[in-house]
Amino acid sequence: MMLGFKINNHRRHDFQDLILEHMNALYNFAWRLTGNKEQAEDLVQEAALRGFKHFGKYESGTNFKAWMMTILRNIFINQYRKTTREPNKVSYEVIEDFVSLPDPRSAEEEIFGEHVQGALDQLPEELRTVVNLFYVEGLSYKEIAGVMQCPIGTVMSRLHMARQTLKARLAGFAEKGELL
Amino acid sequence: MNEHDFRQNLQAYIDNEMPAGKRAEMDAFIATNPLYRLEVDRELDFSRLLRTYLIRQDAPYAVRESVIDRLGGGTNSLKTFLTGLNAWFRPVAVGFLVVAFMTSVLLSRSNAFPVFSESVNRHLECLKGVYAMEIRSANPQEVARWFGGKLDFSVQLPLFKNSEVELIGARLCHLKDRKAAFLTYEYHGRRISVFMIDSQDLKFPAARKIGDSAGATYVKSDRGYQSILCLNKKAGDIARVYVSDIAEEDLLAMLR
Repeated sequence: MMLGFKINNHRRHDFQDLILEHMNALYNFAWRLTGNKEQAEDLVQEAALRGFKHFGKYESGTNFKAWMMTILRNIFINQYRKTTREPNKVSYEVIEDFVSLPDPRSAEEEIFGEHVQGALDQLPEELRTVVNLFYVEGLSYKEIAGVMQCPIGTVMSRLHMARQTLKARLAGFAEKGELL
Repeated sequence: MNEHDFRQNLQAYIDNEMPAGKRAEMDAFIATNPLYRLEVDRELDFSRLLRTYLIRQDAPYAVRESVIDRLGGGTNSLKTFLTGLNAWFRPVAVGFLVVAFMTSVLLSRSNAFPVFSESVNRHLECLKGVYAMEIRSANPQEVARWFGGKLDFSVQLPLFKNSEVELIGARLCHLKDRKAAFLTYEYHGRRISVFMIDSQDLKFPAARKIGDSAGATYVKSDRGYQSILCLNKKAGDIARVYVSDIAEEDLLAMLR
């Protein structure tokens, strides 16, 4: 029993170390999902508690961040989605012409950055999540498929669709003359 | 490989998600036509653009703190431990725990609060970028207002004799287990961290004392950084710790 007590404490410390290491990534993911600071905070806390409860199921050496993100997204889908703002749906028409995008070092980079964030926020949750996990969190297709519980092919098609939609949105921004 | 294969595999190629053999095949195909190269470059530019502009929102300090609190409090290990013991053994175990608790309290009381090493640790973490400021402002009033209600004491920002010392921002932090205000300043590109804690009941480690009519100032050097602990009677139990790599005499000369 004493041994069990020690193991419990070790487990908690191991989990705390891991969760703190990935706290920024988890919070960012929650914030992207909910679009709301308070809900993101609640979501991270709930995911952390659930993660600790099931920590025994986590396979040491595998990607802890991806494992926690799977838990966090499941909670979001089951509990938060209904009450969270769903961004305006966009049409997925694929644009053929690529419009030149601004030099990231230009003076307008801050304004442009806001437009990139805004364009991402307008995507449906599945596309927003795949972009965030790939470009911000650096997860592989396989890891994203694990988080989203879908085949790798679906990850690829969602990523493709998200990229094309973002291109179209940002190209529209460039055409309005707000850039360059 | 043909154009259809090229288009079908383009995204995996751009995203580095292609096996080495297939990648070499793509490379060879792209080299056959400059238009393919152009298309690849455009896609790479777009990926770079997304990575540049999609900014990560870091977790506020309060979330980290709350998660740790809830994990610590929620597991109820002690209760689980006691419940599992046989009834006859329970009083012995409880007695043992009481003695262990008393011993740990007595030991912790005899230990000095590691104010210097903890301050230098936080200062270094800030320099390494581990600790981002929760408020960035050069306005002392605004920063003081930001601390309102976050600590059990009122945060009065320090005054420097040298007007070139610029306030950068602030955040909450812990020095060991004690909650502290953490302010960061810059002087000609050199960073000065200021920590404020409630020093009630704290015993500080030995350090060189410098006479001061208004209170006491203690100086200690640790890992190449100067730490200056100021205990000012007028400020009640609030201790201030200044940490910087600025020379001790220069740093002392700046303080009011």
